[in-house]
Amino acid sequence: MTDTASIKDDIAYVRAVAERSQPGHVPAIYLIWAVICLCGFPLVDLVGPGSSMVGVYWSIAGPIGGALTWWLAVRAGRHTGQADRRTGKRWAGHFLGFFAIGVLGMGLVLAGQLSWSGVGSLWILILALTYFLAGLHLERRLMPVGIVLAVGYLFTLYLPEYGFTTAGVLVAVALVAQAWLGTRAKHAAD
Amino acid sequence: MQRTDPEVGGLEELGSLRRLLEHRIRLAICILLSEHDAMSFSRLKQVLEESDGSLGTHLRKLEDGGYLAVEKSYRDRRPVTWYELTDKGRSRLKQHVQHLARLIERVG
Repeated sequence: MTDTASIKDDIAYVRAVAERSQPGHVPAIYLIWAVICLCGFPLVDLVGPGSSMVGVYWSIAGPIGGALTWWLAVRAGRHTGQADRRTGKRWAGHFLGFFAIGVLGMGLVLAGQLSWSGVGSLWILILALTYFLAGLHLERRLMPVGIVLAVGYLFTLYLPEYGFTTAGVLVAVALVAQAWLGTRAKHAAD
Repeated sequence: MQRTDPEVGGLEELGSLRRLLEHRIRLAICILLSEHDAMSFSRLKQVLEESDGSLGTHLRKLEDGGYLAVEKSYRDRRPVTWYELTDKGRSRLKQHVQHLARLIERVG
């Protein structure tokens, strides 16, 4: 083997090693968000989109879910022996971006251009895009969840009584399915 | 006019590569640590599929060269050795990867 061929061989080896070092799957994170969405989305149908309870729920459940996600990811990293602080910051930035855009979207209600129900649907649409882009750039497993959320968004528009409930059930099922598929893929790889 | 064989030119450049990173396992260690902030000895061993002795030797060479920083901690009362790439290691790795990219580009 010539030296240049040997270098190419070394690069192929390094690439294979780098692929094996991808951060592990943490199903608990998917399950937490499945529960949060399963409780939070139907709340809109239950108490009405303009109810302060919806805002209170998400302002408590959102940060708690985020903190739990962070803690579980750090714990999983310590367990596997791999610290990915920069990746963690990328994830945090991605979802904080969603939160900031969602808050700005509420300005449409204050300006009288959108109803509270419309803002609920808008949040789901932005969340669909957030998950889809996370699937594209961070974790492929989130892409189908983004697509399911986009379908859920359509339900919130055309199923007035149970649209948010249907969206909540759909996204919870998608998240649980991805948690299960990820665990199965991990076992198969081991 | 004398023509330079691209492979010969490339080999000259190869000579200038940092010796520490010539070995593919040490190169892989540095690439892994440039992608992840820190990795434990056992995780590196798992990913690289190397024996304790071989991995330990390569890590010591990189540590002695100032490419790696080592930190020891405990998890469940067991010692865990964590490795991080130093600024020097990061800079040398960058130079090395640039050399390799140029070399491959030249010889195809």
